Amino acid sequence: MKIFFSELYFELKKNRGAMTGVIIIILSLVIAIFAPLLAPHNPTEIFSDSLRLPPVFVSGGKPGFFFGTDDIGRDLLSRLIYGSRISLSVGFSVVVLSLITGTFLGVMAGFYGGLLDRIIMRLTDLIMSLPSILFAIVIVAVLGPGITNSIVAVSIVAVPNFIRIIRAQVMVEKNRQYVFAAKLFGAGNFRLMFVEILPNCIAPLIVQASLGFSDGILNVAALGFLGLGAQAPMSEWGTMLSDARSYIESSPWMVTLPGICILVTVLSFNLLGDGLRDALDPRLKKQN
Amino acid sequence: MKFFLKKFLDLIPTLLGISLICFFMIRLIPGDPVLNLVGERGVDPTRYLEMKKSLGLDLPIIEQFWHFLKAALQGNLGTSIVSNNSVWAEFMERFPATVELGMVGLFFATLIGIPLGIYAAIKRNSFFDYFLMSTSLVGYSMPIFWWGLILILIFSVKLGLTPVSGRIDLTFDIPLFSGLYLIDTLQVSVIKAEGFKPFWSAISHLILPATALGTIPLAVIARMTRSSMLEVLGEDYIRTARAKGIKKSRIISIHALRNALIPIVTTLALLFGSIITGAILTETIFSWPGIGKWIVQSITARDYPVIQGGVLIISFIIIMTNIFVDIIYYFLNPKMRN
Repeated sequence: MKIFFSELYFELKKNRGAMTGVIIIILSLVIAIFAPLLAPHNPTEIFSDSLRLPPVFVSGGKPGFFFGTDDIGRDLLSRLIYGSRISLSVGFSVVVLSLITGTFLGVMAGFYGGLLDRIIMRLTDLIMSLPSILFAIVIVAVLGPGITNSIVAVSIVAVPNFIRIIRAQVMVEKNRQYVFAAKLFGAGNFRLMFVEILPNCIAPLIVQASLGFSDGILNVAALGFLGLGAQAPMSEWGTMLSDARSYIESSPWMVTLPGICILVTVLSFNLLGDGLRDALDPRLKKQN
Repeated sequence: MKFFLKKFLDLIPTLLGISLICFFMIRLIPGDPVLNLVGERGVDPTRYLEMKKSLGLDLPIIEQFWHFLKAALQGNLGTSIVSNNSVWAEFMERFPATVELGMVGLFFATLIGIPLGIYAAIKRNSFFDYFLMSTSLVGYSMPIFWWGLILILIFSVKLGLTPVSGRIDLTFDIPLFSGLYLIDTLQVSVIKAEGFKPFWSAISHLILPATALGTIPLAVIARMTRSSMLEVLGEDYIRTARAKGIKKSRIISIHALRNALIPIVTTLALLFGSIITGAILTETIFSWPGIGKWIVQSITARDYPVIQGGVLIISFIIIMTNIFVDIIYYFLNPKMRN
């Protein structure tokens, strides 16, 4: 395992795009963790004498409000900084939820095959046949809007990707000699599945997890933008965008900044995911 | 024949599953379905029972599902609580707008994406290649609900070039024929009355939303074309062609591109679902009167029959498109026939 990760790191270091992604991710993690120290103001504090101030480097800006303020006078920079906390934890929750569920179902389907496999695969087909946002909208319509429900919805939509990847991998691995050997040593099915086979299926899971992060962040932000995600005082980037829409003519910075934050975060995880895929795909390695 | 039969048999569980989801959706919403339907304001008990009976909610659940399926197959998807129109009629009214937007968006993406991808593959590892691949990753990561707003900000607010919302100037009265304004504005009667003004108006309304909607597909198509071309260009028959002294442009356009197109066509088909997703967001931003905006509005209005029926129709269309693509594929690629 250790060798696997050090080799992976070695491969990744050569990929400039992936390293850019890693650096941005680490930076945003630092920003998210130290948000209370970095943010100049409380993200929900209202300065009623400073409504919709432009950023400080534009004429009319006030020092102390670096990126200006929003329509009810909250400091935009502080809201963006706290927003990174929400987006990163949203991405993390989506990946963890869908990874655990997807891995479990995928291993079961691949290992046992037969009827169980057919039922699980039918369910994945069903979820995949609907566009992700539409399916998430249906779930949110049932559960009600809110950040937790939108995380649940987006995770459900992400599960089939993990199931498919892990199932294909398990179906190959389960016929290998080492599995047979473990069986002879008297390992039970549970041990075979999760201790013997699963660690050997981890490479494609890592790639999917990284891409799942960006999908999760993007989809939850989209739900927030549609008014189905995070609600009012929360400084979630998608929700901030949707609030800022009506001020697009008079206060364009309110629209521009949250979107850039979403774009950069999503991009960094896509860069990492792409790099991981190149590093882990042996077929591509040979070509270079 | 066996292939088609299997495809259609595979459809049945998926379609049943989707109908089940749509059926239970309205029943899983916390609270009483009748009260959800008529709103929170109190209903007197007799009216309540009447409603319950007319909605068939007093029957056993299996029977309810059966009635729902039967009605759906007959095109009866219920009536909107907000407008009191039938869901099917509301859908049909808005569907052409989404088709027009989606087709133009996808067309834009293909028209630009494929040449860019080919060029990047030919000039592999050049500055252009790196530039295109980085830009396309940015495009792929783009939150299109933000991208749409930025396009409005630049082209409508700052430059004043395009209108912000809608499909056409409301001053024009266009007799609807296909429902696609790009076609309807070219009817002889329209041109006689107004000239080409309505047509340009329709185009200027369409251009921003189609660009926003086409951005992610454009990025995907460019990347896919590049990698598919690279793979084909490394094949032996390309080397043979080159050795025979065939002109490079001919090798690329005839020998390579034709084979590289197969995965690109698949990508295009897979993009169909993302076009619908994109339409939901794009239509909301540009107030485009299509099915995406319709669904979002019905959620805000808690118009459950519309959500239920709308999702059912949209997923049905997507599933049918996928099957259709499989069939076209079957004819395009002889390898699949065995």
